[in-house]
Amino acid sequence: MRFQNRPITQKVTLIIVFTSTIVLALASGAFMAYELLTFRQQMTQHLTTISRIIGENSTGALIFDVPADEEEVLSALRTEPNIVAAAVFDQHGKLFAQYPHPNPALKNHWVPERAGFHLGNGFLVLTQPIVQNGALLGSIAIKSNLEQMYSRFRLYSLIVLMVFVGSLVLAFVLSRILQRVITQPILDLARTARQISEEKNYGVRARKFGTDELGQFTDAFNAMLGQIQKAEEEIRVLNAELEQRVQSRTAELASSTKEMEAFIYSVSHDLRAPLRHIAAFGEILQEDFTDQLSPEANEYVQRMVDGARNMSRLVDDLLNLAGIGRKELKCEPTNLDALVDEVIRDLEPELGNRQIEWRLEHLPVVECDRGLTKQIFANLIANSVKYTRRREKAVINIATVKSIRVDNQTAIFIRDNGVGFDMKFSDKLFGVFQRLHRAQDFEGTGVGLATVERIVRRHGGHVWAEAELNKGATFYFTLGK
Amino acid sequence: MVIRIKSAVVVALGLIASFHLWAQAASESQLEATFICNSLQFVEWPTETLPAPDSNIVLGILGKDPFGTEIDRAFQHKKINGHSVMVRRLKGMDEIHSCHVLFVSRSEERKVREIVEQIGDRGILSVSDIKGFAGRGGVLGLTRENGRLSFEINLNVVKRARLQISSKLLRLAKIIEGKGR
Repeated sequence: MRFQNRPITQKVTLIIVFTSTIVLALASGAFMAYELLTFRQQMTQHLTTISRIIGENSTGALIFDVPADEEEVLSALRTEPNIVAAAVFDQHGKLFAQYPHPNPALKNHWVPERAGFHLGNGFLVLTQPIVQNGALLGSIAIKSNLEQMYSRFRLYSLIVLMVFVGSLVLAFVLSRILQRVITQPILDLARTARQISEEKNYGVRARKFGTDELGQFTDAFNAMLGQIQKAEEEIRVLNAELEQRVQSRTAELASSTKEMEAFIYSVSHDLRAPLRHIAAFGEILQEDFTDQLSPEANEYVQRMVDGARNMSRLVDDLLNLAGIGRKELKCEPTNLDALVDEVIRDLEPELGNRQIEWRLEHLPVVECDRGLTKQIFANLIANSVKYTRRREKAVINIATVKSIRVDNQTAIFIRDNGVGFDMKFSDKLFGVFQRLHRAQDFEGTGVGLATVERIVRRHGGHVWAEAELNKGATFYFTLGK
Repeated sequence: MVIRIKSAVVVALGLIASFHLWAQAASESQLEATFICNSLQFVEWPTETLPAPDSNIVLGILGKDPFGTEIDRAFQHKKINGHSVMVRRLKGMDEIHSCHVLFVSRSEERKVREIVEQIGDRGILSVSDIKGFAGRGGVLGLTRENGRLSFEINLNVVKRARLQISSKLLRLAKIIEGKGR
């Protein structure tokens, strides 16, 4: 695990232990090195002193040539356990006396060396001249084993190691205890933050430990929480206001819509009566007075009657449209296949000798208002029939498809191979009186699709269209779920 | 003819023997001279008798001189602790007082007591090869032990004479404690 990702308690402990280890190692190393150095010094000093003393005491024996006395002097070396042998040479370099008493089994070859320290075979030999009154009387060589140094070094190493390990353990224990001073506030803060974010309760405040940087952070954190709380409150107030505003607007909208519908309804009704007059009298003229009128006049009358009929149809459509908004939906399971067949049968008189290929697929049974849904099919199919008039063979396809547009639910579509329309104007399609084709090319009131849209919307569904100019159009719709 | 050769041989042998004896005697005095010379290194005289570092140590020979030139040679170029040694042959006991070291020859054996009394408490190192010299009040007595030259030292006399003799020498000597006054 990367160091950065370890928990804080571990980090602090590791840092402390690591630092302690390095410091201890350095200190131990320094002390051991010092010990080694001074001990070596001590040893050489000691050896030098001993050899000087013995040398001093040997002058008599050397001058008077009494080796026995010399051996006695040398035997004092018995007290030094680390001095294994010593030898005194006369001024000619000949062996004068030795310690310990020469043992033929031990091979202690003494060869007089130059003055100074000689290291070899694990022994240290110091050779010094014996001088009195400026005259060289002989020399003394003392051989010391390094055992003392090694054993002392070993002991010291052991002690150092034990202290090292002990201190490390202590450092570890202490750090575990003391790291809490640093980590506890941090952990507490982290816990509080987690708690707040989980419960979304911004009234909770973090506990402050001390006035160090962490304390400052805690203050800032708590201040932030306070601000969040305030902001929350503001939002709540605003939301409430918004709700109210929306409600009042909706109410306004509803009432204005209702007013509009009432207006349309009454106007439409009032428009109908005069239209009926116009149509009626026009028909009378056509029936009874055709021969009294010129062909031109007859044409004008025809035009008048057509116009009145058109307007009547428009008024009817508008009335219908307005009615949809006010009527109650009577929803029941409806067999859509039967509905489509009905609509096609109703249209048959208008089809005449048109070549229309109907590609009908099985439609589901849907919970909806039968009458209104029939209007949807009637309008869409009539449109398809109308706009495929220019084709030799019209192909009208009615089926279902799963569309992303409605979260992969099933939508019903009606596809034709008529004139289509430019998708640029697709958003205008379902507006009232919106016509994307000229009246000369295709008649129509411009209310049909608006009606479809209104009905679909009342069912809680969606309606949309896709088309390509001169290739055809497809109208999709869903009726709620 | 045979008798002549025999006597010649006897004479020759006799000569050789006496020469050998003479050579021995000569080497013995040489040894003693060396010995005395070596010993003096371990002796310190009281400051009254040897005040300055460059004062001379006077070695007087009382009686028949057994050394000859040997002793002069021994001390010719030698300095005892920085002091030069002057060898004098004394003509009489009254010259004793000027000495630091007094060698009493074997010829004076019968006068030892007198000599010791004459020396008294003066810081004079009296040395002799007379038998039992140290026991009779001398400081340093030269003896023969196992054929080797050895010596005795009378500590009481040393103390009375206020002489300082190094333990290095004392160790090698046979210590006599006699004739204290």
